[in-house]
Amino acid sequence: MLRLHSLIRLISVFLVVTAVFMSASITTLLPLYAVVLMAVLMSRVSANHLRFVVFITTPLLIALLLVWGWLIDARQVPTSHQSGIHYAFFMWLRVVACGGMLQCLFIPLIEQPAYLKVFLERIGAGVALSTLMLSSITFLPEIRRRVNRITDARRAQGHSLSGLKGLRELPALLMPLVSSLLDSSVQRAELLSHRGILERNQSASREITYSIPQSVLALVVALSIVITTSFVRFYA
Amino acid sequence: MKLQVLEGGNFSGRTHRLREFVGLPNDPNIEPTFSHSAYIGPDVASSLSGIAPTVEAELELMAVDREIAKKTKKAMEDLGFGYCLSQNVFTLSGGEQAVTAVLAAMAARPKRLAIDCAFEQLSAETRTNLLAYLDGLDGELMISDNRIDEWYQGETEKMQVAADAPTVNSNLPLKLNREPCEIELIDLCHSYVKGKPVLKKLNLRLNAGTHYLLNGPNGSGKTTLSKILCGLIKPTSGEIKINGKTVRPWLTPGKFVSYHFQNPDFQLFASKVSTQLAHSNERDALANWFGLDGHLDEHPLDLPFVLKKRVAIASALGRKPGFAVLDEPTLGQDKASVFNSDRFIGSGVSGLVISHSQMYSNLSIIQMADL
Repeated sequence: MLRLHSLIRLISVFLVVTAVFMSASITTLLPLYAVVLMAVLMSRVSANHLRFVVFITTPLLIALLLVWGWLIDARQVPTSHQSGIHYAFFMWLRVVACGGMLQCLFIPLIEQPAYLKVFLERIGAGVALSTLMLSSITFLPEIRRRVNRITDARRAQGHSLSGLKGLRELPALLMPLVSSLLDSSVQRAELLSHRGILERNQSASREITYSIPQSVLALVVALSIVITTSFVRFYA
Repeated sequence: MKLQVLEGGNFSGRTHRLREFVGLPNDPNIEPTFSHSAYIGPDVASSLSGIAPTVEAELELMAVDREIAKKTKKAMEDLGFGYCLSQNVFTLSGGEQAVTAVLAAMAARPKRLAIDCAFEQLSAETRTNLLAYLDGLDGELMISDNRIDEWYQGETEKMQVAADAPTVNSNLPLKLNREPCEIELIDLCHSYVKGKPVLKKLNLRLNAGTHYLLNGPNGSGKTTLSKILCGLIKPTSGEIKINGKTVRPWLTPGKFVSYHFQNPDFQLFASKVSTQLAHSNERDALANWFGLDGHLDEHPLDLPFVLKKRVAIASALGRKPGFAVLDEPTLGQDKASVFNSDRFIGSGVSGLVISHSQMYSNLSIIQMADL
């Protein structure tokens, strides 16, 4: 999946999302699920990511079931669905199909920022802009690392950071975090410009060869889903 | 590279001189005088781009072209740090980060390179090999190092220490009153990843009143062991006894052992130096001893690196535990102010030092490889 061209990724997601919203019942969503499953198997999505999807979508399912199965009058449920619960499941499956595809196609890319950088450089974004994009992606893990070090240091000073005590410690923890982030931003900006990295036309990042058969296959599969869904929706 | 070495204590203007050498102004509002040069400070993590997820990606990001990227990776392997290539830059130890920072800087093929105290985190062997590698490249190199006499006998540029420099008053008695603390580790095991133990059935006794130097190659588990002692990590298995009693330090970190981290920026939480040391009854003695009297009302994070480090060490020593772990306490400290073995022994706090400096060789040495 890493070798899929990024443009193909975008088109595939667009097609799948279109197909998802064209499908009118759970039955028509099933071929889509076959594709999402294939994408999961092809991509390097880890069990952690899948757990994350479950973590996000389970409360959504509960909320939909509550709203459509209990709060909203059964008469308001679209006629193509047997009950509110059935409709809630259908809506949930739609969201999971879209979210799952997005996750499978883009998380490996974001997890390998070097690939994203190469892609941006290839489409003419230049080293400076691609480096800037890379900084925005790596910003959160950087904060997380710093938070871990700062909380470790605070705990080593005998302060408990669990529960309400942790909340009380928040101002003390924020000070070194903000200060170190600001300092390091200045230092890194200085570093990148002073070493002449931003003036380069091309970086030395590794070459990635996209797999044309894989890209064509992904496109064909996504297109065939839209065609099948349209056929089922309008003629079946 | 043509080597120039600066010699002088803290507050002698070495950093200013080094930054000037590579064309970096000390005022951020002034544009650099020239580019294509690199400066590596004592906080080596800040000399890394921070946007590359692995060491390999860092070298590729900095390298002028793919050929140089390949050569730099090869140099990393030749220096014995090939195992770091796939690792996250910020999970490396200080020494590994220092090697990465120097090689990444060189991958950009700078005309001038300034290294400010970063060599202090390297073992003698790594430092020699790294210097030999730098020697084979074009450009000019300027180094400032507080342990310069441990590895360099050539000519140096002498720098004069400022008359009003805050110096350590080490001739004053600093006898902190602490309960003696004997630590025993029995069959201690720890692994971050299943099947890859960092510590394997470790048995160790740390006697009360004794001062130790923890030695071992990078990745041998020095930091893991220290964090377990402090209670920051729960060991996978094993027993920890303090003064004969079995304890679980991970339930109350910092209660039995205090910890001084390598980077002072992450351990200064108060808005004034006086507040940072306020937990200790011996605050004034500590401030006086570490030459911090004139800075008690200042924000610790506004101080220069050398003073931040002193505040962090003073803060760790001033805590109640009778046993302290000090990770690279010499970093950025000159001979006159460094918390050396004699000062450590005289402080009244027993503990363990992790350092590559030879100044602790008179302490009881624990070799990680022998455990």
